[in-house]
Amino acid sequence: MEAYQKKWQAVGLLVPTIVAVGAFFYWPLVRALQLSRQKTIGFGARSTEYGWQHFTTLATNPDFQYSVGASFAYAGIVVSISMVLGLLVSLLIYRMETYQSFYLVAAIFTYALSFAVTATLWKTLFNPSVGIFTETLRGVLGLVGISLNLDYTTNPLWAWVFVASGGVWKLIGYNIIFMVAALGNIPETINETMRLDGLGWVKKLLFVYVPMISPTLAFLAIVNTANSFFLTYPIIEVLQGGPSNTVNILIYDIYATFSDGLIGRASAKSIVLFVIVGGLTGIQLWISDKFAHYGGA
Amino acid sequence: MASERQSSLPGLTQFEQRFGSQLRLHLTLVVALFVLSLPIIFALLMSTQPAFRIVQTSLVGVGADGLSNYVEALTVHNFDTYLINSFVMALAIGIGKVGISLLAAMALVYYSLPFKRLILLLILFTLALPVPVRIVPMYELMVAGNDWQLVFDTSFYRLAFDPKFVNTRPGLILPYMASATSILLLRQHFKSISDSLVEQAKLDGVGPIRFLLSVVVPMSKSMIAGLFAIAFIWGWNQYLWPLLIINDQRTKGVIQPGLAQLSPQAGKPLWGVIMAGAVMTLVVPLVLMIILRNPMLKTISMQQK
Repeated sequence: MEAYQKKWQAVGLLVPTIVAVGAFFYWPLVRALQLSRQKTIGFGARSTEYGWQHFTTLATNPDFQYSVGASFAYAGIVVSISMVLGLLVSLLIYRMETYQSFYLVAAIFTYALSFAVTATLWKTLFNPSVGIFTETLRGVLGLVGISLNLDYTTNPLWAWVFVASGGVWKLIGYNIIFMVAALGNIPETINETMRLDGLGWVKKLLFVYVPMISPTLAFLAIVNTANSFFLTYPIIEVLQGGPSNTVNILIYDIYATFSDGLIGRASAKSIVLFVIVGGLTGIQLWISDKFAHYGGA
Repeated sequence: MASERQSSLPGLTQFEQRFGSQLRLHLTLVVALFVLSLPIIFALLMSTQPAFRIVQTSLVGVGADGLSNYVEALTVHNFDTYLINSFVMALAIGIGKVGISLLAAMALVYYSLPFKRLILLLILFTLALPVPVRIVPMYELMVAGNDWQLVFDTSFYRLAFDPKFVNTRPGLILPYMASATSILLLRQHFKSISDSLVEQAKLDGVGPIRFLLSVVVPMSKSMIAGLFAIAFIWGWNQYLWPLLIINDQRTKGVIQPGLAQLSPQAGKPLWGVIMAGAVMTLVVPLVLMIILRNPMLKTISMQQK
């Protein structure tokens, strides 16, 4: 396999990757660690050594604790709902005998969309006074005599519905891609056996399909969690922290701290995010590795 | 099939039952996908409507304004520039990521090299370092060049990361060039190419670059197309980094922050224009996804391994 021997050639081929990875991944990580141990206000300003104080302050700061908790809550809501809905749509596509690829493309279109587009659509559709979602829902609730505050700038619960539904909608497409692929790998003999056993679809789903594609589900749960920690920023940004900072999710909190010029504190917060995302990525690699050995998907 | 059971429902043949259940499936799926597409459908409809209509009533239909909202977004709100800039950015990221990854995978598979596992691990680890984690130091790297001597006083860094990177295409694009996913997938794929090919090539005196271009690349067409599509869509959809690094939104700006900045001003509701902007922002990656759907879907689902 390793047919070519000249090491300088190999190094030459690796140089662009090494430079890009070094300058834009590892150097920023080192620098973030340095900055998180300094008290710096604004770039270029004299900084003073601050030790681990940013971290100890953050650990006892109730606002930051809320922010971390809100991130996990957000990830939990978005990941579970988008995976359940994605699985249901995937099963429908999987059982389709004709036009399967047409339906697949129609179902995964949100993969190609950005979170910024989602944020813009949501801002318009959920607009407190003229949004079509808001108006329709208000009309329906009005018929049964319920009046709710459907303003995401003042109602914390509705603000959470706003960010969670946006995240779910955007992530469904990604989930369906993997789920349909995994379902397609289930051996035909198993379907044949199920048909003969006459299992109902709920039982099939819970006792056959879900266990069969569990490596994919585990992978998706972790990747989705990491994604909802940082990629959802444009949706969360719309709320500017939400009514009385109730939607102050970590990624927004970092950017807001950074915008205030509190470089050291923002770096410390980004290190916390890194530890969380890094931990999840580690778990994901460990799981894929484990399943790969057992010949799973 | 001969082994199939008798129909469990009286009066229905196997064929009718099967046909019926497929029809039900089609209907369920069409309804589900309709609900999923509702935000896009509303956006398309609203983008054709004059402003007053959207504000005054929530009746939804195709409006009388036709394409005028699109024209306004393009000419007044700078979307012509955004579209071009974003296209250049996404294309450069797509080609750059795949090209750089091809070279790296070539080195990792076809060369004997010390510390291979360590290099692989270091590349793999970058998956845990998404842009938001690096945003503060990356901004410093690009922006605070003047004060750089305060933090890292070597001429190499001052030379490489001059503040002139702010507000430029290289400043926008370069941080996205490395791709752990592409390198790992290409490496996996190269390893599946038969050993005898490279042996033969070597015996024939074919150099590594020619081997890469005339043997490996043609054999990896589908994966290269898939990786390009993923990287292009990823690049097109970037928001946070362009928002930070580009100050001159008017001439250098890209489409995602541009769209976010398009908000309704008091007294002048721009909903139709905003929706036209959103449609233009989403249509490019969507079309690319539809064209390259087969290699792209195949490549994405390989990521799990």
